[in-house]
Amino acid sequence: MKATDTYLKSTDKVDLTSMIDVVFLLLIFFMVTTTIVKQESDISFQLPTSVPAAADTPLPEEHLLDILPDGSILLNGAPAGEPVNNALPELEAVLLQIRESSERAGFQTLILINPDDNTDQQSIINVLNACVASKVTSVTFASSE
Amino acid sequence: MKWELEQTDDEPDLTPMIDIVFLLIVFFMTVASVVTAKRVEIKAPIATNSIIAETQENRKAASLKSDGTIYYEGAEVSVDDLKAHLSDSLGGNPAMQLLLRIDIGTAYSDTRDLMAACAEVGAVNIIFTTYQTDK
Repeated sequence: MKATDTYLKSTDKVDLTSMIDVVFLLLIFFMVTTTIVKQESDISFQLPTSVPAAADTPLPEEHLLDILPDGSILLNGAPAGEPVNNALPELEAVLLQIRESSERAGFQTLILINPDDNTDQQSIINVLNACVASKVTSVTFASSE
Repeated sequence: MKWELEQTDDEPDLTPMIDIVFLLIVFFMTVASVVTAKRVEIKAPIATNSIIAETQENRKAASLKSDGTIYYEGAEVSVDDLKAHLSDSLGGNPAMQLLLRIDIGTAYSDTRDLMAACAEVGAVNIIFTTYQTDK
């Protein structure tokens, strides 16, 4: 074998080392700068409006639900449970009973939520979560005025 | 030339590794751009019965941090600015839903003021942002 042949053969392959260096650097950069975000989910309701309802709309059965700053619940003024791991099992049971009994009587159940000024968002969401669990669909916030 | 033959056999084939590394780079680049898309960082409350929306269409997002600052579509706004933005959006689409991304520690007094402003301009279809689990 001639010396030139060997030379050509060895330079035939592209040297990948520097490219791999750069690619690894990019990989590490993007891994460090990426923060995986948690997927957000929804709980929806309607705010009260000043639009008058149609005359023949049946009046719903209203229940006032106070949320105290510590997250405990008053349903129509009576204690209705405290949060356990962001859930309100007592309130869920009571709401389910209320909804079923008013459904049998042909009424819709409307829950008016009235949180204390210092109540945090988690306590409010706990109540909305309980409403979803007991399939109460008409939920709104009481206006302070 | 036995020595030369051994040397060429020694070199590992790097092609599959480069394939995988490129794939990872593309993945992290895509995820990184998703994260930076118009979202203010908040810690949402947990609601196990919440649902993950199939579509993000037909909704606008406003965020409320625990210190009471309001963000609309990624930029900090005053209550009056927010009202103006919402009226504009509602003019083009009366059925618009408003996603309120409220931090877990926000006091209700701030939440109430924000909701009052929304109701004033007619944005009554409200969605609260939550996480389904605490993990």
